[in-house]
Amino acid sequence: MAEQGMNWLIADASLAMLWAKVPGENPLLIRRALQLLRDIQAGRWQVIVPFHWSLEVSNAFRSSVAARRLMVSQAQKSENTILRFAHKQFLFLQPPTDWSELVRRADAWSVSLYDALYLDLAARTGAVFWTADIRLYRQWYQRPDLHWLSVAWIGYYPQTGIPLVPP
Amino acid sequence: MAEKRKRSRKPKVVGTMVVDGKEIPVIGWLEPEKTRRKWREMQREEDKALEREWRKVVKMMNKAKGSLLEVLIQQRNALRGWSGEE
Repeated sequence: MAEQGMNWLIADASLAMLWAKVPGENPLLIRRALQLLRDIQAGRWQVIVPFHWSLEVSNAFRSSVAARRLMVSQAQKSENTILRFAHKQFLFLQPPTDWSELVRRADAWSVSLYDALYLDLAARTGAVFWTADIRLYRQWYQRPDLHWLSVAWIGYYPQTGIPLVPP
Repeated sequence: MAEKRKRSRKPKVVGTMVVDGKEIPVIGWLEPEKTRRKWREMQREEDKALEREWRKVVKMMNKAKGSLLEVLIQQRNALRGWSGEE
């Protein structure tokens, strides 16, 4: 369990794309993500990320370059800024669950193994998992049996309640 | 009973329109070009505000100096620990 008395959250790589203000991202979501980042910088939240987070962020930047949304130099600059910041501020966790158990969970929850890592972390720590990945959020939303996991949509930051209608 | 407030100026009726079978006066039409201009202006202001905010957080993030190599080494160690645990 996460340390008592501290506000922990889990952030996925989709938030990093909003922090980098990659062209084409929704301005409303960027605003909310920047609000979250400011709160992190102010020490209101402690961030936990799984060990593969940096790799996911790098891959997202690579995709943005391939899609011509960013120039290579811009992507490298943003990537360095975000990874350095994360390295100093975030807590990188190795998966406490063993591999086969994680695969079983991914199957049971009908999510990819990458997403299962985040959800597993949320289950183990009790921290709120913030995402800008609409596909993952809707997948989680459609599974009321998974609503015991704290998953929140960045568009609603700082509200963590489950909406009547998904975004 | 409260006194009825007197209008300083009567609204100018520019036309009429029919709502639920009744003809009602219309005091002004929307000008599409003016509305679009106003909307664009508001959008530009919002974009500028967002840009300012973003510059602030990037400045804060840039305070974290260090080598990216350290991050990669940490990643490698984390990956090595994957199969070692449990």
